Formats: sequence, structure tokens, C-alpha cells
Amino acid sequence: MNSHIDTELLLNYSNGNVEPALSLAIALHQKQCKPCRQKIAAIESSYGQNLELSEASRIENNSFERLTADLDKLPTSDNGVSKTSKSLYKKNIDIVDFGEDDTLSYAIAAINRPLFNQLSDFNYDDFEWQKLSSKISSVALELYDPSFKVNLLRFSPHTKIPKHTHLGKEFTYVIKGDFKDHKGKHNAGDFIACDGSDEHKPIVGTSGCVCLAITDAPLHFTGVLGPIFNRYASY
Amino acid sequence: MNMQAQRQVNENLVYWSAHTILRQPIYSFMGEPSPSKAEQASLCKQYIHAIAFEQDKNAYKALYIYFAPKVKTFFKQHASASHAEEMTHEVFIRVWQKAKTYQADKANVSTWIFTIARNLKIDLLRQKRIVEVKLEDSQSDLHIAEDDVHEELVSAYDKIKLTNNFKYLSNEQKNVILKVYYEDKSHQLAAQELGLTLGVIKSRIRSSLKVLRHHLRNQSE
Ligand SMILES: [Zn+2]
Repeated sequence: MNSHIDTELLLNYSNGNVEPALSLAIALHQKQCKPCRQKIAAIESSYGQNLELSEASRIENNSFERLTADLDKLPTSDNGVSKTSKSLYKKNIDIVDFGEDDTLSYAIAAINRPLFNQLSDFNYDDFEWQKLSSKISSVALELYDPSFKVNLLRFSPHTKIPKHTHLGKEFTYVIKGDFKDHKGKHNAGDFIACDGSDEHKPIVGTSGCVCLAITDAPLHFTGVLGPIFNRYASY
Repeated sequence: MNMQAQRQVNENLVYWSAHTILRQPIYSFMGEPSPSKAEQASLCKQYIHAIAFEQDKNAYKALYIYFAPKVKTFFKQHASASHAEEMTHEVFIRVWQKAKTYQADKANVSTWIFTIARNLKIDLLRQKRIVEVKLEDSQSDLHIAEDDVHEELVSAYDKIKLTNNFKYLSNEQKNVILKVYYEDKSHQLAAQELGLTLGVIKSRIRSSLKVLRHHLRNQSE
């Protein structure tokens, strides 16, 4: 059982090269997981040093003057630190204020920050949950991810999740509660990577479970209820 | 040295001789010893502090001159030269805005600036879906990039032997890891640029990851 994130994935995540859905799960995991957070910090520090050591490109004439001219246009709050001004950024980049905490350390798109905050605050009751069965409901999250589908899944206590195989890669991040499968027990905060060969039928723990399921191919339910779930699971 | 470089150097020196708190010049073009890695890191922290609490444009400029050309190089891995220039501009807007959120005890300034640039890159990739292609003009820009402006800036730092954090990797391993994970090069392209076969690249990545997995795990325990 591996409930942490592999170093190679962290090397990519730390440089912003991981797909949005997976980045979101990694960001959520590292918030809860000190060892992974420390690994990310070590990698970011190496990348920072590499930035400092890297070749210098020629900066255009007057670029600093242009910069200070833009700074003067920034509205300033009373403590002298500017609030983000959308109008200043005419480039087609979404600008979301990161706030005053050290949230720069999360390698996720600014646009996904609100979702990250909701999930890490367990604030998802208002989402448009679709019932897949009396015990399972789901919300498809739109992250404009080119590679992965992301679903938030909620299971009632003791739910036996229908037997299924993963046709492609699947990553699961346990937000709340726990479940167990042939690999062992997975608790809130765990990050689980599965490949196509795993067939499993997880059983949810006594307090239910909410998890983020990230798949690059549809889940394929193989048990008796399989056809029903395959029809309704909107992966 | 061309005019631009001379001007930047002059302005920089004027600033440092005039400034009251931080007397030590960031660059040593006049034959003085270069700052050590630790001194450099500490200087940068002082710049951020001055930006955050005194809105010190001079400290800001010193930081800009030191980091902007490198930040631009970072973005040129993903974007055209002009776009890289704009992204660098955005990074330094944030440096100004976010200076108060920088925590000197948690990370070096280089790490902090890297994360700002990296996060903007994520937003850029999301918007543009530029995954790996450099735009056409980046090739020709590489030649301009060898302009003596940055040569001056760089040569001042030649003597600062900053050791990379990936110290537990051999140089050969480090080169491959940085090409693939920092510069986002495909294995094929990394092989070409390093003059190695694809097989060697793949085996070096495997061995490097093994070392990193081991080392990083020990570090976290
Ligand atoms: Zn972990």
C-alpha cells in the first residue's frame, strides 16, 4: 500500500507539470502530509537554486521603468501592500488573489484555488450531488483537465463499492472517512495510485467516506450491479 | 559592455553608494570579492524585507536586475521571448505585491521567486495549453540572449559556486534530471541536447530517481 506520492510525480508537480486534476489531489494531500510537504519543499528549493544558477536572458530596454509605472497604477491598501487589480493584467491570464497566506506554495492553477479551499474545508454539501445508488452519490468537477476526469464521490457508512477494474490510471484522494480494500485501509488524507491491473471491491468504514476520484479512463464495474453503475457513473 | 549594460551597472552602483541601510553592493564589477552564496541569499532577503516594509524601489530594482533575466529564461522554456518578457513582468508585480507574505525562515528568495514563476506558468499552461513547444522566435532569440548585458551580470557571479540542492546526484545524473523535470524536455530531446543515447537517458533517470527517493525519504524522517 502506498499512501504517499511518488518522488517522480512530486518532481513534476513542483514544476507545475502535472495535470490540473492530479495537481489538486497532490495539493490536498501535501496539506495533510508532512513528509510529502517536506519533499516538495526540498524539490522547490532545488528548482529555486537552479533558477538562480540558470542562464540570463536579455531583458528588454525600459522594462524596469515599465514595471514601476505599472506598480504605480496598483491600488494600494492601507498597509502598503497592493490588492490584486484585475484591470492591470490585460493578458489573458486568470488572476485570482492568493490572499495573505503562503498559498503560493500550492502548485495549482489560481482558478482552482477556490475549489481547493472548499475541499480542504470539507465544504461541499452544496455541490450538485447526483445519486448513483441509495448509498453512493457523485459530483463531476470541471477542471478543464485534458487527461483526467474528476469526480467527488460520497459513500454511506459500510457501503460495499461494486467490484470494478481500472481501465487506465486512477488516483484517489481520501478527503474524509476511510475505506479498505485488498491493499489495506485508506484513511482521510491518503493518496492512492492504482493502475489498470487492479480489480478491487472496497468497503467503506463506519463513518462513510468522501473521496476525490481521478481517472484517465472510465471506471468499469464488473460485478452484478456493474451494468447499472457503468451507465450512471458519469466519468 | 554595451550601453544598456553600462547603464544598468552604473545605476546599480549609484544606488548602492547612496543607500543608507544596505551599503554592500550586490555586484562586484570593480574587482571586489563576489558575495558568497550565503551572503547573496541574505542580501536578497534584505531586499524583500525592504520592499515589504519600506516599499523600497531601489531594493526592488536590485532584485529585479539579479533575478529578472533568469526568470525570463525559465519562461522561455514554454513561451516566445516576448511572452516570456510579459510573464517576467507579472512575476515582479507579484514580488512587489506579495513581499509581505514572504517568510524568510521558510525558504530562500530564489525558491520563493521560483514558486511565483511556477504558479504563473501553471496559469499560462492552463490558458494556452502550451505544453512543450517553444514558439518560432525562441530560436533566434537565443542568439540575442548571448548579448553582453547578461554576460556582465552572469560573470559577476561566476565565482559564486552555488551548490545545487541535488547534491547527492552526480553531475551526469543532475543534468538529466534538470533537463527532464525542470526544463520539461522530452527524453528524446534531452538525449539530443546532452549528446547521449535514449537508453542512457532512461537509465540515468531511473538511477537518479532511486537516489532521490532514498535521499528525500531520509530527509523527511
Ligand atoms: Zn504523503
